[in-house]
Amino acid sequence: MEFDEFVRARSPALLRTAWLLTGDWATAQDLVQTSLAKVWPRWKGIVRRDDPEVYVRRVLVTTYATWWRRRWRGEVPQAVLPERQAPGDPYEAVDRAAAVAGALGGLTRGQRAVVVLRYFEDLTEAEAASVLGCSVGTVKSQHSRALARLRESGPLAELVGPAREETRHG
Amino acid sequence: MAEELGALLRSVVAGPPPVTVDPRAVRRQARRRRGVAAGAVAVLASVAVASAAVVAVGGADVSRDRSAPADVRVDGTWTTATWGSLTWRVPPGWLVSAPPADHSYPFGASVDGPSISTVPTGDMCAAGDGTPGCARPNAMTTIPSEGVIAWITSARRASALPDAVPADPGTLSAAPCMKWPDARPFHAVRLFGTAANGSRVAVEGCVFGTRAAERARELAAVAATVSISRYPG
Repeated sequence: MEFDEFVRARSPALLRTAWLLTGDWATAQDLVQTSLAKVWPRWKGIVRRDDPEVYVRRVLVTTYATWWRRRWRGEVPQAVLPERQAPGDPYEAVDRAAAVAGALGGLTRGQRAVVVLRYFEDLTEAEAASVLGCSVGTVKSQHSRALARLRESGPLAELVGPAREETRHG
Repeated sequence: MAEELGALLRSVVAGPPPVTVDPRAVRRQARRRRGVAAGAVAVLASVAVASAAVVAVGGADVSRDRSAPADVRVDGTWTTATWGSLTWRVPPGWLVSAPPADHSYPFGASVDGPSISTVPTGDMCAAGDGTPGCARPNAMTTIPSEGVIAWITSARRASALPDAVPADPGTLSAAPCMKWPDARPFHAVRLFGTAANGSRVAVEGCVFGTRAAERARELAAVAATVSISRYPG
């Protein structure tokens, strides 16, 4: 697959993952573009050896995890977590996105990456560890701490449920 | 729990993202990362635009500003700026910045930037790894209480790219301001040449403060002054 073709076809999906990691479309755009820029010089080799999307996602997540503090970080408006919306509320989707961004924003980068990889990308703990370049034990501990933090976050607490032994695959 | 949380995460990013990634911008950033001079054939067009980014100051033929809003007077105090084949004018005191190429925005644009503003934008911000260039909403590190920031974008009216911007990118007009919810988005588009063989130039920006209506009229006047050398008259 040609690089341009890949970017056009897969960048929307990459941007969605990046939004969940950053909570901000503009920064998600920067993150995806930077990740692709890292990959492009080695593109032909990657296509020969690997599934390029898996490789790009790995770069995306590790770039996010290692990105130093951005100058405009302080500007990102912190969402005010909304109360539960009435059915049919036209602003429900916006409020839900703000609530998710706010809840994920309370996690560390590592915790957030693990949550996105486990629940959005649907990866096993072993797969997430491979993407993040860490041990399965680290993923488990980050996962456990992330869920504990989300339980305190309000909007996602009900979904995460009370503390218990996680039995999810992986 | 896992299924519900996964479904929730998927639901908040359902639908097309409001931003795009341009492969040409990716390659430009990759070259900057590697410190390689941008001389490859594949980027000749973008390099030509960047190397021609000369901001000229001086008088101008105000007779071409005939479509400016009636209550905004474009006169000799306005500054003329030139970017490649594009020329336009800005009110006195406005700044024209020529940042390194960042994201091609909208996708498929042949000219992306520069920015015009009433407030300093400083150096174009750096991406998280230090690479120059970033998305438009990140161009300013502080939100001005009053002022304007806008971008000049040019693209072919009929593009061979399958997912390039339409002739009128009106649907994108609010995107540059999405990080500044109190800003008033501004968008104007000028069409040059024919639909099959012509260009469009968009002036898109964000207006801050209590003088928003006045600033929007000034931006409209700026858009009215845009000309392209290959489409005289």
